[in-house]
Amino acid sequence: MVKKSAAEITILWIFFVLFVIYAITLLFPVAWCLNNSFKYQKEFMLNTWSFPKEFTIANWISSFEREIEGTNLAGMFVNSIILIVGCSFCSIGSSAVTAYCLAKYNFRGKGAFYSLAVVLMMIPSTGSTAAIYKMFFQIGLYDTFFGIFIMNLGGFGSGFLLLYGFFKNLPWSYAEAGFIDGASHFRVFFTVMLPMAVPGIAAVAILTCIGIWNDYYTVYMYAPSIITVAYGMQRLVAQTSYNANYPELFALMLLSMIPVIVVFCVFQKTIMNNTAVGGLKG
Amino acid sequence: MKSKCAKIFCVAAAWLFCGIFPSCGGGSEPIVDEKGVIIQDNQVYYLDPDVEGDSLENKTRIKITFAETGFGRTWLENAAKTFVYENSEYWIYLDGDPEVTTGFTNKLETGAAIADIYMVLASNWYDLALKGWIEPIDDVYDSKPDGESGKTVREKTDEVFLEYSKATVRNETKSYVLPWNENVTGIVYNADMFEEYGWEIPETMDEMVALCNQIISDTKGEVSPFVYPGSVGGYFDFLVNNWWLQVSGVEKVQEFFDFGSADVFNYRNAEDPSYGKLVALNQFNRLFGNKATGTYNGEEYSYTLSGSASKNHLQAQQSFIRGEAAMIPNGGWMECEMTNSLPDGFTMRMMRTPYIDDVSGKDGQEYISYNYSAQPDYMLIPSKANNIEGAKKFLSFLQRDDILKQYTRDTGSARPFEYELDSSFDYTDFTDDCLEIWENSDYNYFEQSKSALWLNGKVKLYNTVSPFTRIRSGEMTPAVFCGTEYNYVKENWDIWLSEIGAN
Amino acid sequence: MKKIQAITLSAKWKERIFLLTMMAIPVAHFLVFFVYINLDTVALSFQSLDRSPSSSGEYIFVGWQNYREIFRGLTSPYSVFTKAIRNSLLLFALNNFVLLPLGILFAYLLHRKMPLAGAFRVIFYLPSIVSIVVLTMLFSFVFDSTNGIINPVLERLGLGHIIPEDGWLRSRDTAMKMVLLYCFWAGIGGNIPLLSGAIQRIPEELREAGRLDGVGFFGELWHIVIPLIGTTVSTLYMFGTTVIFTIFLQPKLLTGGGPDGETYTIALYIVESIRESGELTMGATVGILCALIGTPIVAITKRLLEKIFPTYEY
Repeated sequence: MVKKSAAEITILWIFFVLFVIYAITLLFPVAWCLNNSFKYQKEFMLNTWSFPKEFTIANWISSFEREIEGTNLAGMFVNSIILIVGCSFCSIGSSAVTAYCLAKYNFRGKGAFYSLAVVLMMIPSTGSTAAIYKMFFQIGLYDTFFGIFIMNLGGFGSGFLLLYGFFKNLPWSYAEAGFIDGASHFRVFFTVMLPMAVPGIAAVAILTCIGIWNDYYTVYMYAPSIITVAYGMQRLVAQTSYNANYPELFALMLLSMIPVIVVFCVFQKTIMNNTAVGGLKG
Repeated sequence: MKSKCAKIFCVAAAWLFCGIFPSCGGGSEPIVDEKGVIIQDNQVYYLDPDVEGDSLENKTRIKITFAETGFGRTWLENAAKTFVYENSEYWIYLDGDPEVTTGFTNKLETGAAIADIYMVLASNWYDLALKGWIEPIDDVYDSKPDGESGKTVREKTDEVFLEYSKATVRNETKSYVLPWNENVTGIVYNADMFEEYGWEIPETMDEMVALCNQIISDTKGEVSPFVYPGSVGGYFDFLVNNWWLQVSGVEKVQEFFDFGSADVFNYRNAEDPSYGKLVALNQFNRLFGNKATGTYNGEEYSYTLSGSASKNHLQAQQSFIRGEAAMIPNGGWMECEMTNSLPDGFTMRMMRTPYIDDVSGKDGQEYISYNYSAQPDYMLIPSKANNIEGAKKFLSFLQRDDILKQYTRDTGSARPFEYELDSSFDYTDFTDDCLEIWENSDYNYFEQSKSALWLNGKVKLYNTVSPFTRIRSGEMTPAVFCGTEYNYVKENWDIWLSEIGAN
Repeated sequence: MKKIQAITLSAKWKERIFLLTMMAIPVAHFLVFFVYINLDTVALSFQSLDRSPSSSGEYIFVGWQNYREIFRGLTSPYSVFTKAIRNSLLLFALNNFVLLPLGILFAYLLHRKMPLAGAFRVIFYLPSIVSIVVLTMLFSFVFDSTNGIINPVLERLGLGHIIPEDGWLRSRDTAMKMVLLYCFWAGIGGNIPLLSGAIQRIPEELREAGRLDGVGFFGELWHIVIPLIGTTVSTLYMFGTTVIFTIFLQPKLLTGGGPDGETYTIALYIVESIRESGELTMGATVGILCALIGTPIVAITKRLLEKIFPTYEY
């Protein structure tokens, strides 16, 4: 191991200080919310910075009972979990399948598919909101879990690109061994290649889940009766601008953050080790 | 790996457990009043002892989704309680949602989990009527809530609001909505502060400007005369539209909103509809323009609290409560809205929008008083509702004299119908002020237009840019703005007409 | 002879069947959600809601009217559309030319045995996992003149004169800068996990070889690390390019489109036109125009990136 030079150590320390400052600016709002969640509403109106003169955990208790359209915080979590499980299953299933086929097999038009995937990702979907809304409503998929799941069945998104690289790096020899043993393509995929791909899929799954967890816009547009955590928080923030009960909102916000942070901390290594991003050439 | 998974699982499980457990309590305790009407978990019903085996299951439901904002829910609960007591075959479900206004149109379209009555905040319902999603309620207007000898709802309704409720669909004109509230707008002020410094309520604009200067000098520049919620928008309309009415009168202002031609934007002569707009903007400039400052000790202080333009509702009200500003343009809902956040002993009161000094009065009276009530909040019945009959009955019931009086007692605000206020009730000072403005104004007015240009969003109240930001920064004078707007509208008028003429 | 042929044929067919079945759902999804939806969007862009008195609330065909209206909007001095384009490009530049390089630098620094690296990674990623609604609300509180901490601090430092009269978020000069500041503050850490992963996979030998040659810290970063994580960087760059047409939540939540449209973006324009006019057709029109303009831009960017960051095998 070559030792670090003095210049390098200096650079590291300079940036360490900068990082600490930046980290403080990120953690500070969290601490601020925490502090204010222990205040009564009237006190918060008068004073948003100092420690609570009257300390109360009433907000924390009432935040468990707070409901949006009959769904309380626990219900929101349940909805969010259902959504991410279903959506990531559909999304990853579709992406894995597409990535596998394009990475390992050769067929006519393969290059076209790959380019298609890249291009597809780039075309803005905001403009098609209207058409999707119309279609959903016509087939009766509006405001259903199923509708959102189906939206995520696309095999040509970012998940695809991430998994493509992963599959490309998997050695084909295992599959060949399987073929020699007389297994069909399906068997090989499901029993040989897919299990080997689990780390990569897990990493992509986590990233996908985090994205869906935070996405309130999709639910807002296409399934507004399903109150997920993200959508519920948006509704609560809007409501709070009327009833001014900010301390309770802060309590709710912190509650909704904790599980996500825990999950991320734990799975950090998995994500980093297993996301190999494939090239853009196709 | 396994222990990590176990850890997460434990955390998640404990989490959900804590969450689900309190809410699994089932619900809150029923509240029963002295007549026997029960309120429990948003359900309001009455078990009639005269009806054998009366239970909730035998009754028909009326579901009401309402905007639970400034005025809260007490008024509706009280109305519902009286209604189910007298009509015990119904029970009422009260669904309070501050955000109903943005989401309810989807419900009307799909009919999913739909309510029987929607009470929403001011918004454009015309398109909904067009698409056939609202049930026409002419029969509600023709009903007589006070009994056979009383007036119909139509007769009790203020004319302006009656006109507002109509829409022409498929060449038939019908009433589609019921007005909820008639707002009072003006300037809310910190009564304690005014008393402490001995400031007097200004009646005219000259007096108001003098007051602003006095505020700055008396408080040594510490307190700003005004604060306002800039990021929310619409608050200046309370003042500017009132001034406009003072100059041009109701008829001319309505002529403007009929948008007969581009010339309604002409502002050069006193007879032009937009002349009043120019004068009003000049008054705005006096209070909020970049030269609206007072001096103390050689320093200049603005009449407006710094940063107001970026404040939302809450932040502006916070500044007001903390005494950083003495006044805030607002409406009669403010006190009710702030019930839970007002510090004890804080007194707020409402003053009229000041009169412009050289505006003419009528019949020897000094000034004509206006209350600009802003676009109304309203109620409607979806055409896909389950219980249209019950909904109509309830809507009609709301205009009964005693129910109207109770509404004002509960909210401190009035509805645009003919009724006597309960004079014996001990209203707060703020409510007294608001009701006085409502009762004693010569005209209550809000803008409405059936012009296709307005409904299609082609022409707006202010076109090109927002005059308020430009005048505040000093970039444009009111005259320049009006001139620019007039030219712009003239240029584009025919294009707009052709764009909607295709329909 | 025949038997072998038969086996070969069916093996080929088996492969085809496999591919067809597997790809069936993704392709079907593509057909519905891309082909059909975009065709429908094109159709919608030629329609408008019938508001005449005889209407029954349906969409009717209006030809090029919507497009004409957009183009008129582009040339009108009071339209927000030009600002929307400018802002979308600004945000794109911020994303790809500031945040991405910073992300690479930070990921590399964290990799170089920075103390507390693990904690930093989690903290920096926080904005990406916390609800944007809450973050923007907090951001606006911090900059509020009554509640906020920024103004008192600036005044203490003697910089009170730069505080805008209208407040930070609604002043014409500072509104867009605040949106950019927010995106900067909340966006630095977003790419770090992926970049860290890519850096980790660079074999140690290559870096040691560089160090023996005496490249130094930045030299190592520029000559060795960046080219070797090139594929990741270019993919992230492509993701960032989509920002032009899709970003709208940040300006909407922070400034609502800003004073007189100062902070509008293209996507916000689409969303607001749907909300304001109550009909879907203007949004569809803008969407189609974006797709038409965006696709060639994206294709060209892709080519350029391939030239700059060729794939290395290691």
